[in-house]
Amino acid sequence: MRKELFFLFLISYSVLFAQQELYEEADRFYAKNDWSAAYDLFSESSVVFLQETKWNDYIHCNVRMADCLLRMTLFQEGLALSDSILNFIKKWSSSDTLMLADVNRIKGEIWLNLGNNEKALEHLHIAEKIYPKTINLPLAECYNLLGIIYWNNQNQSISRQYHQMALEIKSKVVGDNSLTVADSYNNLGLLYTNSNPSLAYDYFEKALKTYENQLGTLHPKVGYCLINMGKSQLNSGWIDQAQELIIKAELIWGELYKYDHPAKAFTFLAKGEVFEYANDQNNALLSYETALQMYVRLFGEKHPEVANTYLKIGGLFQSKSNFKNAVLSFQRAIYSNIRSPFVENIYSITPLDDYFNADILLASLLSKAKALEALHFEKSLKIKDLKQAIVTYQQADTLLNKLRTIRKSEADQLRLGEQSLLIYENGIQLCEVLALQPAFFESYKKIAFSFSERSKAALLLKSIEDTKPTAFKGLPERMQLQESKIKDSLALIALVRLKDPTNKSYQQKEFALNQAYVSLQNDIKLNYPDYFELKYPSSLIGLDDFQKLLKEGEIALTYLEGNQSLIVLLISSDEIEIVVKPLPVEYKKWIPGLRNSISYQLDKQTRKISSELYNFLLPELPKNTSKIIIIPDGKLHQLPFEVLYDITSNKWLIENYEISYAYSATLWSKTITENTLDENTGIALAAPVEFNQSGLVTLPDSEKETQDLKYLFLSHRMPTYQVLREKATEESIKNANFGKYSFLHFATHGVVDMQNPSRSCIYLQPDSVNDGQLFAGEIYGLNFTSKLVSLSACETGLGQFASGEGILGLTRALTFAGAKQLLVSLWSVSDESTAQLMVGFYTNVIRNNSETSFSQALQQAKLDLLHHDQWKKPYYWAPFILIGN
Amino acid sequence: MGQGCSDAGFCTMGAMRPNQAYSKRLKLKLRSIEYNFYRGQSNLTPVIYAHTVEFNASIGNSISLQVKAPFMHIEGNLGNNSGLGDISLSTSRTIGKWKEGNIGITVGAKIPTNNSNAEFTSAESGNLPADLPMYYQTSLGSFDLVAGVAWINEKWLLATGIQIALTENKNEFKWGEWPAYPDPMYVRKYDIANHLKRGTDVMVRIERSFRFLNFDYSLGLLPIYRVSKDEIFNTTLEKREKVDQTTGLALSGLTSFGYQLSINHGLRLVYGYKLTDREINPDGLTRKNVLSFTYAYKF
Repeated sequence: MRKELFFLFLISYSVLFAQQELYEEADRFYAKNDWSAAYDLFSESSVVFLQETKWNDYIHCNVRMADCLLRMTLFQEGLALSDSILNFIKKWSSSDTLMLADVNRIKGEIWLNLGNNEKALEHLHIAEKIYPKTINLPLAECYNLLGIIYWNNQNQSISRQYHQMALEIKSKVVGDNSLTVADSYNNLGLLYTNSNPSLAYDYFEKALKTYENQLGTLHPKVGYCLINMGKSQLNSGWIDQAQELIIKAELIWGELYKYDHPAKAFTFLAKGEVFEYANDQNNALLSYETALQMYVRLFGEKHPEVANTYLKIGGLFQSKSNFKNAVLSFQRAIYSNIRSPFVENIYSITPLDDYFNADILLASLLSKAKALEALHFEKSLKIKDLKQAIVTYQQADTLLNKLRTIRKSEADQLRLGEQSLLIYENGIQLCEVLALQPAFFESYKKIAFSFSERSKAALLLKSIEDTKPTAFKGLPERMQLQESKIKDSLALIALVRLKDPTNKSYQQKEFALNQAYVSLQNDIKLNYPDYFELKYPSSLIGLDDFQKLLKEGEIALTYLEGNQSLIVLLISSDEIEIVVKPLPVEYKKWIPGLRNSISYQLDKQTRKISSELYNFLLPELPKNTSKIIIIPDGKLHQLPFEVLYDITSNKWLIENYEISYAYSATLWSKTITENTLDENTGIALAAPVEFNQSGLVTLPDSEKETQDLKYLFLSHRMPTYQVLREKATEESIKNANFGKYSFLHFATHGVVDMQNPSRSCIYLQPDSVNDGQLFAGEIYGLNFTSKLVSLSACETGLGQFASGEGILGLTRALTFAGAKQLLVSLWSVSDESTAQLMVGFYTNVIRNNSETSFSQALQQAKLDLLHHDQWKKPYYWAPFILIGN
Repeated sequence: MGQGCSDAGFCTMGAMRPNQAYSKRLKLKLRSIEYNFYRGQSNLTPVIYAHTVEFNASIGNSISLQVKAPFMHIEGNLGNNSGLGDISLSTSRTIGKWKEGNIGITVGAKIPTNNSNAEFTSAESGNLPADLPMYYQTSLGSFDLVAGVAWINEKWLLATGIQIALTENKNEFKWGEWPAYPDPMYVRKYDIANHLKRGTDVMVRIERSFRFLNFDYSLGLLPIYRVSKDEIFNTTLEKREKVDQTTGLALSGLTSFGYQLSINHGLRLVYGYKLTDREINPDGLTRKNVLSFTYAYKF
């Protein structure tokens, strides 16, 4: 019996030992990058484990097999195995969650390789959540992959954070000279390749050193690292060095891969870039086309790498002034990136519902539009080329709005803003050209107007994203979550369908989700119309409707500050004129210069700069103009147009015209309200006077100012509500009683946080509940019904300016809180002159009742100051502007 | 337009030419070859046909060269004549900007290809070779100096120029050489231009263009004032003399339509109509109307 037991033990031990040996052998092959052999041995091991019902070991072997399939670029097989592992885990082993994380990490990496970033993100974020947040390598690898995806998505700041976290973990776990740390150096290098190529080169060099030491010179990682180094050298202008490095990589691939491989195709692309940089266009084209053919053989026609290569080829044709071929290549780039079959007709409308890589698609659309533009102006002169360029810009704009929801960091949002600016600037300029054609006079003016409005509407979405208010116009959080969940599911199902378009089950799911989404939208539209309008500002006002709202003598000047030009749309009730002016070099200095000269009360300098601005900014106005509505853009948000100086008549603009401001024609149209005052019209006044917060001085005149206003209204038998000193708390403002008055007047300090608009606030008195700072984020949730909110405070009209986005500050928040019109200031103001101006303004409003608009009342109040010896300088009368009708 | 409505060629030279390209956005090509077919109906019976080849080349952004070589064919009651017309050479330069337009100057010359003494033999000339009047000549027969200045913007072209004949020609048309022509009074309508030296011309071009993406049309006025009298050799007095009534205004109205097939290819049709004329025109530069068609290849 003992003997038998001994033999049984011996056999068991031998089997176990053999299993162990088999697994370790597989691991050795894996380490040597012989993934095929490793796969076979892991597979053998897994069979043994299965027979012995050692589920965890069996799963572990399968995870390693999926990993091998990934390394062998057998992506579909890798996905299929990963799915079966997940099913298996669900059925048999719920205990080892780490393996669940591993499978999701592998799936994420496979999707990343397949170019499906969103799907990859989904799995990697699952893995990220499961991995314990201790220092462990799989978590670092997960961070690493997330860093790569966010880099692909142009979310560079987030990508950098992930890579740095990965590097930190890896260095601690395996030391600085390990391969995985080298991977992180390589990835960080990639992040800096364009922005700081010499820093990128340093990172790559560190990675290469480790790769060569650990893996020898014939290894894919060495090859990729060499290409990356080549690219960074190219960006520094070192062509020969770049070429040398890429040839070294090419030799490695020659040894490693006998047949087609993405690495080889990637190298051809890099070679093409070097040739292109060296202006050797023929060889560049040859390299790109070789890369393209290889990618197509590897991935088929529909793949982001294929699209990207077409994009490169198109760019090359564009630089050779071969615009027709450039357009065709961009067309191919678009279709390689979407599910629909290729259509060669460049004038057809491309369906953009299902795409693989949004960034490449956006770049392809913009490139196509620009190539069509060039084709027209430099070759064909065909009107249809310009028309199609405009259509393509419109499509790019639609896609860009989708991307805004994907982009996470502020820096990346700003990059999108720059792309949107390109769309609007070019789009309007093309409309201007087409609007000169007899057949299209009207239609393209309308499109130009809609581009302009869309450029302003982008701001609405951004302000929501940035401010993250706790409650938007009363929409329950449950519904916000529901909306977000359905949208996410729709995005995911769309991606799954890309790979398996004929799968009916996915089609049904997509249909069901769409139905749920439509139903939810209808519900929101019906029950929360304000939120709907805020979140989906698709119902932008059209030109015809806007013109109907303009009265005789009223004109609107809508500005778009482009990269190269300033575009002005002059709109009256029966006409629209598009004026495009190249931006002069001194433009950037004008507005800060003017603000400084006003601030330091340098009269001569003020008149000089403001007369230059007058000539540049104002097109010839119709003779009957009496009122100008300014819809500014960019730096113009900081300019009170009232101070523009007409040197021929020696008058400030305010002396000739009433002036008001709006963020967009759409928003302006919503501010139209009857100014009729009656005995129910009242004013709510808030003046904390003294402040606990450091750096804020006491405002003694604010108390007098509010008292004066109170008595002014009372003398006209109008109700007043005043919260003074310690009573001027946040609660008193949030109280429904305050917001119901027709006029809300804040005589206090305000601050606009240029970096973080949601931190902009109005200062009030703290109480037991609140800190006395009414933030923009909180203002979004308030509900005002007032005709006018005045902020008799410092620089409350300013805000963060974002290229292509507009300005974000307190004014935006107040508008959404329901204020029809706003009176705010553009620079720090004198306490005393402000009180004068405010009293003058309200006096004019009340005395003239409905016969005068607020802009007229403000004009008169400013003119009174202007004609007063003590206050005649613009510093005193110019800072306050009226936003609204 | 060759020797156009009533001018000796300077109106179509360099900066003074009509229907010039002007665009802030279009990429203008540096060179062009143009073929122009022109038909002009003179005040008398001759009809002038010209096939002109024109070459323009720009050097950089501001300097351009122009060469024009017409082949002319004239048919009239006294006969017909064909041959190479006067060669025009000019250079232009953009010298500055004014009121959102460009200012350009041109200097050039006209080189005669013959002495304007082509003859024709017919029954009307008694079957003997007889000198044809200037109307029938393919060349003006003189070396001319041309200078001009122009301002052009999107809508307007204002140009002025001067053309000075430096030499006299060798034309020896005499009424008596056409003894058998049935209507002697008709022959006498051709002014004598014996060894003609033309007076100096000053022109002004005012043109309003309506430009669109790939077509344009324009309306213009072209007053040409001959400021000094023509001079001929009086064979009776055997001395050179100034011819009275050869000075004065010749005014034409012009309209054109141009269509750009692409940046490289363009077509243009121009119609000119005489509004006023000088009394005496020994040089034969009078047209009731002209019609010209141009194809331009730009590269």
